[in-house]
Amino acid sequence: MKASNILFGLLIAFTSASVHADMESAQKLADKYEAIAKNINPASTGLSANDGKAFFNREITVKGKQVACASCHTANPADTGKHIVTGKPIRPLAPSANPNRFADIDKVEKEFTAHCHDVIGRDCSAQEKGNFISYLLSVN
Amino acid sequence: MTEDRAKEAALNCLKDEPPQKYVWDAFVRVFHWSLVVAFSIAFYYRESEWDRLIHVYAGYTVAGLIAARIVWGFMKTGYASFRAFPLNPLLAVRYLWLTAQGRSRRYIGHNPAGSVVIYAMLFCGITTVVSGFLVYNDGWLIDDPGYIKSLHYYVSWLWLILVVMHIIAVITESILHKDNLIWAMITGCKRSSTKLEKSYWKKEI
Ligand code: HEC
Ligand code: HEM
Ligand code: HEM
Repeated sequence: MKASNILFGLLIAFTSASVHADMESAQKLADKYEAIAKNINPASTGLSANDGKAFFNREITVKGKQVACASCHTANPADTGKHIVTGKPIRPLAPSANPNRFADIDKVEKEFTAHCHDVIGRDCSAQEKGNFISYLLSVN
Repeated sequence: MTEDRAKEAALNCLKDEPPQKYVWDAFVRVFHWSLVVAFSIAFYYRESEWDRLIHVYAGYTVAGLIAARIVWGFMKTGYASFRAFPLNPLLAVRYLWLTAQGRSRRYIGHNPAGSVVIYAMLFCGITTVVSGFLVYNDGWLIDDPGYIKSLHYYVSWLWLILVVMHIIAVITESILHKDNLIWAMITGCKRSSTKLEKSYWKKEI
């Protein structure tokens, strides 16, 4: 346990140099969604971290259960989450806490879309995705 | 006890008309069809987070089955023993070459090409299960940025490809050698042949 903590600490130290780049790619993805959202709805006034936060915490009914993104990812996306089905820990989503997130835009976009379908039974809209990422970027 | 039962099973095969030889013991047969079921469940429930536990438990079942099969293979278990179907890629290629021409001989146990696929499947099985365990437990002792997840993904699809090859090969061989291999994997009995047999197909042509 201790050894893995030390390893993890070392890894954080090594990767913190690249944190900036990952924040950048997350920002790029958010920009992409923002452009798409504007295309779909010209009245869109850009991304809102506040709306993203509301989206993250909003409960919806899935398979007869009340679920929010926060159910698994906890109310604070910079914290380690807990899978409500398996009970296993999930690494933080916020790029500030987990530099591996949003490192590869194309991959993330695909996984994000699949994940929305799986968890809430439909794709998240570009506006929702963009809002959500700007919320993640605002979390320290 | 178990010897009595094996004797009984062998006698049962002999009762068939024409008399057959007892080849696949009960363990191998139960192992095989349980593996098919557990593998299918794991594959079917691979994607959704809501089905994650089903996937994982089916995967652990696969792990247990494979571990048991490996132990069984090192024991003196006749046609089921690893000694009865050595890994020999050269012989396998030769066998495929002869099969393509319709003149491969019939094997009572696994043929050389089948043996290669079986070892490949066992290898994929071990890799899938170990990588699955690591993905599930967040790398366990390894801090992994996603390579293990990719490994788990690709090796399980590779395994599926092998399974498809396996099924095509079983059907092909059943037709070529006028043998019902699938039924043999259920009853354990196979048509016996003492001398090297050229394929019936060739003779008929
Ligand atoms: C049933 C539990 C669960 C729920 C509910 C859930 N997630 Fe996830 N989420 C996961 C798991 C498990 C992962 C993958 C763990 C990992 O990559 O470390 C994940 C990963 C992610 C990722 C990272 C993808 C990547 O490429 O790294 C994002 C983004 C995400 N979830 C967003 C959401 C959003 C938005 C919602 C709400 C619509 C949501 N999650 C609801 C379990 C959940
Ligand atoms: C999940 C899918 C499958 C896996 C992982 C699998 C795996 C295996 C393994 C490991 C063996 C070796 C048996 C041993 O010696 O212990 C084997 C043999 C065999 N399997 Fe499968 N199998 C699968 C599906 C099938 C299916 C669907 C069929 C039927 C069409 C089938 C028919 C056979 C037969 C007939 C043999 C004996 C081959 C021989 O006579 O040499 N298998 N399989
Ligand atoms: C027969 C054995 C197995 C097969 C065929 C298999 C196959 C797969 C496949 C194809 C995926 C990719 C899912 C996707 O399309 O996104 C997957 C994901 C996964 N598997 Fe397995 N698996 C097996 C065993 C296991 C075991 C034993 C475990 C854990 C103990 C496990 C844990 C996982 C986890 C956690 C994921 C999700 C990875 C992610 O977050 O994308 N699997 N499995």
